[in-house]
Amino acid sequence: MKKTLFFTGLLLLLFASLSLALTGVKKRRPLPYEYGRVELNNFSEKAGQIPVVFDHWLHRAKFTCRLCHVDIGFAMKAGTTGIKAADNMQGYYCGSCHNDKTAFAACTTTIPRQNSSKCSRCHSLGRTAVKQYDFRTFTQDFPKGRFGNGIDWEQAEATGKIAPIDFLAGVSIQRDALVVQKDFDLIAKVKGMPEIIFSHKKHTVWNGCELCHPEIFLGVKKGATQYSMTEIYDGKYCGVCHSTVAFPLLDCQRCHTKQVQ
Amino acid sequence: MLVLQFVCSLVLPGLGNTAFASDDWKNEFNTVCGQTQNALAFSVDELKDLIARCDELKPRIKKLDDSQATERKVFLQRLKMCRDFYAFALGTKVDQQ
Amino acid sequence: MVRKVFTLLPLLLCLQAMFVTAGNFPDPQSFGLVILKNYSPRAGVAPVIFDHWLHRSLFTCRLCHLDVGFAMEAGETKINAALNMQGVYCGACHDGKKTIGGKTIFAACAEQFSEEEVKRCARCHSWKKQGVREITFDAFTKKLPVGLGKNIDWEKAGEEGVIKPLDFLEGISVQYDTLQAQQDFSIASEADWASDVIFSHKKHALWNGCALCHPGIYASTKAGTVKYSMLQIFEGESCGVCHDKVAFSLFFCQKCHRNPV
Repeated sequence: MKKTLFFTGLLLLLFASLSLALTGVKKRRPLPYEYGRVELNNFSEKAGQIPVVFDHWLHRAKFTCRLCHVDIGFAMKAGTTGIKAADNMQGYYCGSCHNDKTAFAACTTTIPRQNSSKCSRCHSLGRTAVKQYDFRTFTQDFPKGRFGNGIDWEQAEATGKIAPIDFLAGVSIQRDALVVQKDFDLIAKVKGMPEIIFSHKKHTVWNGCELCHPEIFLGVKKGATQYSMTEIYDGKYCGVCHSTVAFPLLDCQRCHTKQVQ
Repeated sequence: MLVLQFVCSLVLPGLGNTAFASDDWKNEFNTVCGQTQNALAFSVDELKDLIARCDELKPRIKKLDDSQATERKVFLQRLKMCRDFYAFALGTKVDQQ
Repeated sequence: MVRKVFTLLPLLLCLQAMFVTAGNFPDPQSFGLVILKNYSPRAGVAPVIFDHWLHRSLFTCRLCHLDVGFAMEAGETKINAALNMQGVYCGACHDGKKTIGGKTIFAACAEQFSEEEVKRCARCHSWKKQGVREITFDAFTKKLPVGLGKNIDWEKAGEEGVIKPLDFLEGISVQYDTLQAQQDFSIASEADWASDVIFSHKKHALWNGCALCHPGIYASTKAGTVKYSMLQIFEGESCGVCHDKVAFSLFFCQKCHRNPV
């Protein structure tokens, strides 16, 4: 009896191990034009539409993160905003700009047949959408980066290739310029790993304050919160942006810059 | 303007509320939440005051009727971010003292 | 009885492992061979045979798998002709312009080609074709040191300077300060008949850098937090992602299990 049980167990183990062989960790990385892509399907399919494909690269070249994620109110986690066609038509979310004035109108209640190609500019999952902007043409002379979109966005702004807008009339509040907080070091736990110099300046220029605090970074006192790479890789802290839209975590030494003597 | 509004709300309570109240809470929101970038320069009392004004705004936005559901949703989210940041700034201040 | 079977368990697992790999325990020439056929057959061309031996003698693992972005699992990258022609994947080097050792690197894929150029296609699209390769294994590896199982001892080849793999690709790689390699450590073997593993960070970081293994293959950096099993390794997890596929075979137990008990 025990013997049968044991062999059944062994068999199960063999099967389990074989099935493990099918799951790998070494998946394909998104291509430059795919990086930062978000698929929106909270309501599309239910409404008989193809899900929306949103590309961050085009929008981030034109607008600051803050403008969309603070002023317009898009959540930072894909699929959690719950955007509806009606919202867009009332001038919220996509409709804040896509109102037929600033940019082509997002969503309508009446779709003229000859114009249904308009819908598919956004509702394009699995289709080859005819986009107004082609990634390669648009980013042709942008400074190149190694990962993500293959673009060094920081340099792109420094060299004037992009000038993201931070104010949207009727939506944004007129504000004073921001007083930049100091940069600070984050000491790595692993011996020999360079320290991180966190630049508030680089981050606030596109994000402002309330995009990161306190939702993403609650730690008030320096050193009070211990950040672990494991959590960051799981999409917490820096990982909220730096694995989805901003340069990915593969680029270790872009943050771990201060060589330990 | 405020006086006129006050009079209106006395004379025509229903009308006054719908005609002016909407602008009213938005103005208040713009004033209160348009200062987050200065938050760390504010005193503890100033921050506490801003947080109180946020807390006072919340029920007013919540009261928007269902025809303004999206507006309600968006502004409650924006208000939350703004209020939380002031609370964060206050925490930083208190810690520094 | 049950106890007796338990003592046999390692042996059984080994047998299973052999069963898993038995079909592809290759000769030195085919070791590390990858067949790429995501799109080739559909496009009417022979599948691509990619030999690791040639490329690994010229480039570090990191350069191709991190900077250029080839996934670590065969067939996962989904390379297509269009991408190569855009300078992605194979096309990152195979652009008909870049040179190596004074020779121009032939371009990968083309929209149109003359009959003469078909020969160029066959340099990669060489599945079941004989004598289409310009560089043959025997001629190329003559000068390389041979190790266990008549396989090439790549480590020795690197140490002796017979090969000098490139780690930087103009326009794609980023130059950072060289980090000091993390310390070596030992991984205790659970079996009393097997020695502990001595893991050399230095040897691994030389060609892999950091981000190729962490966190994709090894998420945790805290020693002792993860238990590795030979079963999973044989099935291509952790060490098995490279060892037995491109890096030396898992059957050379003592190359890793080298700490005397």
